[in-house]
Amino acid sequence: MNGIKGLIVKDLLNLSHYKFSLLIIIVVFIGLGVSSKSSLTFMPIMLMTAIGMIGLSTFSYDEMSKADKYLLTFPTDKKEMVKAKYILIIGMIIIGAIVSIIATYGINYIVYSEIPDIEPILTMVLGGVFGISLVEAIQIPSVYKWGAEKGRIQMFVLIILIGALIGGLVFLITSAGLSIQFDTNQILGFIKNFGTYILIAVILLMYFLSYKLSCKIYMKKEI
Amino acid sequence: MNIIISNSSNTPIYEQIKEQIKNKIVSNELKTGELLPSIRSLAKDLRISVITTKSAYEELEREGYVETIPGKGTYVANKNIELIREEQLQKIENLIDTAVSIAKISNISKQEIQNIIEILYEEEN
Amino acid sequence: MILEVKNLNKKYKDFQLKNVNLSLPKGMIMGLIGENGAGKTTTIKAILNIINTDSGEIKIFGLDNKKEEKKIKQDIGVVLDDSFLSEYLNPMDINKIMKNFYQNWDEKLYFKYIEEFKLPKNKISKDYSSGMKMKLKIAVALSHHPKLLILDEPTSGLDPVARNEILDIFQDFIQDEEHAILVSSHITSDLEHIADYITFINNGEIVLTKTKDELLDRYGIVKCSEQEFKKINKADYLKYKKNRYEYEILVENKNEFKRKYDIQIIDKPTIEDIMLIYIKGEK
Repeated sequence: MNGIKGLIVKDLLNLSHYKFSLLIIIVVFIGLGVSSKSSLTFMPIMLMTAIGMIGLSTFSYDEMSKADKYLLTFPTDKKEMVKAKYILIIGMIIIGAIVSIIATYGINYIVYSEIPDIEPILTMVLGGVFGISLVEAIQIPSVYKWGAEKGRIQMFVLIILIGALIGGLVFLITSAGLSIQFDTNQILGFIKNFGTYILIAVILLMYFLSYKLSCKIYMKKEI
Repeated sequence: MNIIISNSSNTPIYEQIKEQIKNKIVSNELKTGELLPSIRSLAKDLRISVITTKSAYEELEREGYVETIPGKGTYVANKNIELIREEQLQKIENLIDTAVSIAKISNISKQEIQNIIEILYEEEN
Repeated sequence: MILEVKNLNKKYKDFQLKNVNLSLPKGMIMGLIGENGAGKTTTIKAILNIINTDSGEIKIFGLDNKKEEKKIKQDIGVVLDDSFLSEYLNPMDINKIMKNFYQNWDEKLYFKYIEEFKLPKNKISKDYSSGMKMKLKIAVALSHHPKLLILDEPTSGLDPVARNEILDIFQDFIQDEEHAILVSSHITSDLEHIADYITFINNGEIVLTKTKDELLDRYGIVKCSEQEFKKINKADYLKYKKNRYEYEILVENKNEFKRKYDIQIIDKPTIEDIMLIYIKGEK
């Protein structure tokens, strides 16, 4: 009786094919986190990216079966379909964040027998959520516009572009003689100074704009 | 009850059905008051469209062979046997009329026609 | 009328639906025929409000198909030729999904169909044969007790046995006189048996929409020589086709034609004959 729920159940069942690969990814990343303390600092970001990006692949499943056309014969509409996708994707990111927090905390506690400070972990994860959300908020409307296949290529371009931008910035700063150490504490500090609440507000705003854009694109799209 | 239809025949399918049911009524294979299959189940069993069986039943009803009680079904009507006989006689007369006129044109004698009829009757037996 | 389309227009860059009209009474099966690309699927998509239309009015169960979309769709079952939920789901998964969409989703009925059609419950549909895939789609379309079935090319790509089984399912569905079926196909022989109405669409336009019996019992295909053809009044035929050795002429009323002209060969047409003369013939 609930279209959005039906749509999300459909996506989750499609994704259940990923459960083994997902499990392997989680195990590998946790293993990485256990192996050395320095990799433990990057582990949550990687784990979150792996889990958070899975939501996007449901677009490919839909495309393969031309499911949109069929779904629109059900008592649902385009708006609900867009809404369901955002709920799923944001949900997956939140799950990724929670798994990362638990994993980091757990490894610290079990392997290194220390009770870590929760705040830097949270800030780190929030930074990760921001990064992934930035990519996905751009990605979802573009998948609606150009399709999942082209969208995937675009995602790589986007990530490389962001990477190149940061790399370039670092290069410029270092070549200008300002010695900079790529210290996670500095990034964390930046986020902290930036203000957690502002960051959350920015993330929400990004999704809101992205959702509105996706709706607009999808309503016009001829299926 | 057998109903055999031919898709390639030039006779419309509804007419084929109508004629066959009519024959069964005249020959008393289908008795007065007997319930006929519903339009939809007959269409399904014969693998034909609903409109086709509907037309057949409507024609049968118009000619007084069957009776439809809304919500219940179509029954073989209580038809006057005399009337059916008269109808059949009328049909025979028409056919013989054609035969006679052909005979007259071609100079075929009455005796020859009668012979033909007798031979045909024998064959039947 | 269970379905009524009035003056539907939809323009694409290279194709156009022009003033499409059709009406389907309840209790009936309508076959929508035409070549690939003639506009069958576009018409169906417009009926289901999947595409935006330029003008026209579409009523299903007497309700506007846009304003009352969700209400209407609770009572429609749809099968699309090339589109489904996902190939990576099995019938069990599909049940979990579908029960969220339809108020009247009948799990028992659904699994009854799955069993009846001999579909493996735990196998994803990617591993099904094309006949099984189609039966799965039909099972899904029937399991919320719809009143109207709309099917786009349900028999294309299937072998004769599977096609026959599917026609059986349709005739079972139509046993309830509140039900109706709109089915598009380019395999006209399937519809020749069971359809009550034939609507023929060509180049985005409805060429004819009539009861099938009228087409098969009244229409005729006259075959004659060139000399004979020249004597025929233009008003007395619909279309003609010049073949190598003969003229084929489609007439609307073969008995009337017989009375008027002394031409011996008038064949009972098949739906396909009528379609071909309309597409290939001239006036």
